[in-house]
Amino acid sequence: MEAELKQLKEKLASASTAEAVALLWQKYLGKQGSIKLLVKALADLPEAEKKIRGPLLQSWYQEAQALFVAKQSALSQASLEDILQAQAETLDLSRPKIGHLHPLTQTIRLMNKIFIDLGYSIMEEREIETDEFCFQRLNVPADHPARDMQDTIYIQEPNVLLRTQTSSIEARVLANYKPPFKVVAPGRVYRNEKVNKSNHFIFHHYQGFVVLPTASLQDLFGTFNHLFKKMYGPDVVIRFRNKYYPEVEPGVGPDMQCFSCQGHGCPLCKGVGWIEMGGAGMIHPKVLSLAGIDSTKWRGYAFGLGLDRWVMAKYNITDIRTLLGGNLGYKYHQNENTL
Amino acid sequence: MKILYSQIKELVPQLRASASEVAASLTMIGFLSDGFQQVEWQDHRDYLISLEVRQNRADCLSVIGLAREVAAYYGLSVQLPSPATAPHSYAEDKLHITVAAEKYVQRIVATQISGLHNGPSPAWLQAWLMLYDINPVNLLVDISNYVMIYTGYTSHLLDIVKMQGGLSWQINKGATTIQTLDNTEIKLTGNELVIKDQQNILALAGIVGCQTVALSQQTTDIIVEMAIYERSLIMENARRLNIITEASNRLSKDLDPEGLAWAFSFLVDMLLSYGQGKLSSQKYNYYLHPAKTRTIILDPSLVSAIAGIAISQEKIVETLENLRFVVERTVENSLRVTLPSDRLDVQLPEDLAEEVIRLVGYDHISKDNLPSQIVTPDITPSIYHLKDKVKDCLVTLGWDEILSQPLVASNINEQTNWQPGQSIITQNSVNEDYPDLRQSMASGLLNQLHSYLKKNLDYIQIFEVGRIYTQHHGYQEHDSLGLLWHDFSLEPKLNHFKQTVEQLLRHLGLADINYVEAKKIPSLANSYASYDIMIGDRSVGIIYKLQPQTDHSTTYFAEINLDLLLELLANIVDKPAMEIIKKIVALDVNVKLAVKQDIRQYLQKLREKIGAEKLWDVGVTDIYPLDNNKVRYTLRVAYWELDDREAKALHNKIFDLQ
Repeated sequence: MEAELKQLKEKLASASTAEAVALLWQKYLGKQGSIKLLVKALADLPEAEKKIRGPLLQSWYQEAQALFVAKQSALSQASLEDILQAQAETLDLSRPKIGHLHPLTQTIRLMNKIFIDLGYSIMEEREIETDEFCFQRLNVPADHPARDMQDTIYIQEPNVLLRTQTSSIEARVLANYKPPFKVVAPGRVYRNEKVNKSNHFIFHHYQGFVVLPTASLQDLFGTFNHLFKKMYGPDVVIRFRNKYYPEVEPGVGPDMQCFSCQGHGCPLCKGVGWIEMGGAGMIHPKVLSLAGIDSTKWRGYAFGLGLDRWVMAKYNITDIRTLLGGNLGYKYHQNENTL
Repeated sequence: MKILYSQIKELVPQLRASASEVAASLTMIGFLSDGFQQVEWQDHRDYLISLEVRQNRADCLSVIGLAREVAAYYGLSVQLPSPATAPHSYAEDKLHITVAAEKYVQRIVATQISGLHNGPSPAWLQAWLMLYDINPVNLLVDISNYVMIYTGYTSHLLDIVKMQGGLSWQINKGATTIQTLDNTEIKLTGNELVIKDQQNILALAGIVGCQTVALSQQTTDIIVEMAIYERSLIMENARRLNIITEASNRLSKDLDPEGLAWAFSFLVDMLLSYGQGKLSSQKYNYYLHPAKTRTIILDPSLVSAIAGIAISQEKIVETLENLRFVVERTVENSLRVTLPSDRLDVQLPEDLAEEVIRLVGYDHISKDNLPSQIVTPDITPSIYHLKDKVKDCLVTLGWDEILSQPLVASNINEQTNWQPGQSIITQNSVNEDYPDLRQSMASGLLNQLHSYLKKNLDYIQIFEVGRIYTQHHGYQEHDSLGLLWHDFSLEPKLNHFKQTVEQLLRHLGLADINYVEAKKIPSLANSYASYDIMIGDRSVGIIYKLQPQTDHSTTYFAEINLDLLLELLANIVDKPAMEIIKKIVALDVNVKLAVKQDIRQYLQKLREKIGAEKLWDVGVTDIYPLDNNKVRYTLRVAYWELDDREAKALHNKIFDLQ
């Protein structure tokens, strides 16, 4: 039987299909299989010989059975492998492109986040405005000297125009909503100016206005200081000076110490050490009254910032025209060097 | 406005602050110093300070006005030179002046001076004018300019020899042409305030004089006049005729008529002194409605409330008095403030508060305190969130955002518009090449495409979210999304492109997306590959292949009206999560409809008939045209929360099956 077992081992090793294994089973362990017959023949042996040869034969028989189980398991495993190999897929290893938000959008979102955290709403309004909401309701009647401050692009002179300032959004909100409110309003404005590297007839403002039962210049300054520190870091130095705007009283000019020369004076700040950052002030009582808001019960402040130069400084853009097309591009695979 | 430091010191003798300190102080109180220059003046080192003067402070377009501000800031007083010409020095003869435009003339002061010796002005005067960027002309003209800068009041000197009779201030009635002092021809159209003699227009009042009566080196006898007019007319005339002069700049603002008399005396003094002439007429003084003294009642607590810091009543009074306001305490603990006649900008208690706060100094107000957080309603419009969501989705899908200018060339809208309405055209844009407001986002995206192609960029899928403007039942504007994809091959990929549109729309929550042939095809589109994007039965946008931009690539464009999307999204009842206990039972049915019958409407009615509480989904699985002008649709109707028997019973009932 030992020879039979040895032969079985050799044949099982060379069998590569389930069918071949089944034939071997029949030959060795089937009803008429050679090993099976040897085990059956044990019954005819004398008792004494049975005791000697029985356990050995039994152990060989079990070993033969185990060989078959192992072989069948191995064949089954090999079959799955074939299936998996047949279904193999490879990854496209080209690097995915990433999309980009425009620098102006990124900056506006950054500022929006700061103000949303302070409980502000975000507003938008029409760009084709009326003279009433762009000027008159902001305390700039038709014959006001401040009209010369803004060259207007008209759709239908004198009443329909492209808004020259996002203060028109303030005028709309004051007219259409009841206070209290805290609002910021990023938006596009238009002035009738020749286009060159530094000037465009379209630019972007970031307007903010608050109307509450109490509001003061200190609240305005605190808000501005918070914004500038969030945008430029804790070391930013700002100052507030008196400035005239018809829609506010008192008016404020917020300046940031020049980050290029730290206030010593350089070409960027035109030698004065400070960079003008926009305009602000307490909402003029006439503006509140024109909107039907009782200026003895409500007080507000407003501010407007030019966005384009902030964005140009942040992204090292030297030509304002780049912001509205043409030369603005995006670099892909930004993380390539870090992989 | 420029000012010499030494001239401030002359007017404010007690001033100890340096020139740079004065410039810094003026900046903080409302007059931004935008230039500071060391100069030589009368053999001494001096400083020329350039300042932005507030639009409402015509009084500060003068050396005296700015000196007053400096004096107020430092708590000092201004010492004006005393006029030397006594009233009795004037001669007996009357000037022949009529004012026909009473409505537009506030005050005129005039006189005649004879025997003058005109010629070059002294070196100091010429040098002084040059510092102020004014070219010297001759003695008399230079004095006139000097007085304008010094006092803020403009004057007009007329050569009597060249005049034809008396002077008249009147409104010009007809079209005519004048030649100004600098030999510019101006066409008048009517309604200008002019100064005339019996024959000629001698000046556009408040704006510019005419060559007709210009002074020459030989001029000996002149009429000198100073006037203040209705400023809105001067502003309107100057704007309409596009003539901006030192005079019109000042007379378009509120100037104090009371101060005119002193300025006139100062001018006459100089003319007599340097020109060696003599007064040869009475002083003419037209002043029908003299200015009244104005007072404002100020509650002192208002100042602190606006500033946000405590400012004592004593400090308020002191500051206002430094500004030449006269302050009295009233029994109600308020302040009765009488205004100097030249402070026409001050009209309200809030204006007085500003005067106090700006001189106390904004730097005394803390900037380290965030205001207390008062919760206010969120009034952010939904469109704002939608636009942010659209941008985020597209960036995630690998798209780049661009922004473009909405003013476009006049033929662009004809090529790109796919919506109803006419182009809106601007009337006066200096950028004449771009007069129209865009009607499609395609214009900016195409410009960007061409720029990228020139620069050899190899990955171009760009989008813009912006405004579209149309004249359609009035001036309309709405938010729109434009997408442009440039594929560097000629393979047809419109279906690939539409997947981006659909991914976006599904991301927003819109599922019922379909397409029909475009109703209005832009001329730059391939008319065989243009479709309207539908949500249900509403057209919300367009998708098309562009006519070839290069011979080896293909460009696709899509545009979606975001305002319309917002309307549709508002109607979606958003209840996507539910508990499913029973298995879904899907049953098929054939229905026959007329060819003309809209299957979408049929399905919508079917949904309503079955009801949302029992219908999981319904869709068309097969369409088969029949020969009797009908179509057979095979529908699969999926029921939920019904067992097999209940679903079948409902199905049979709905479709009338046995």
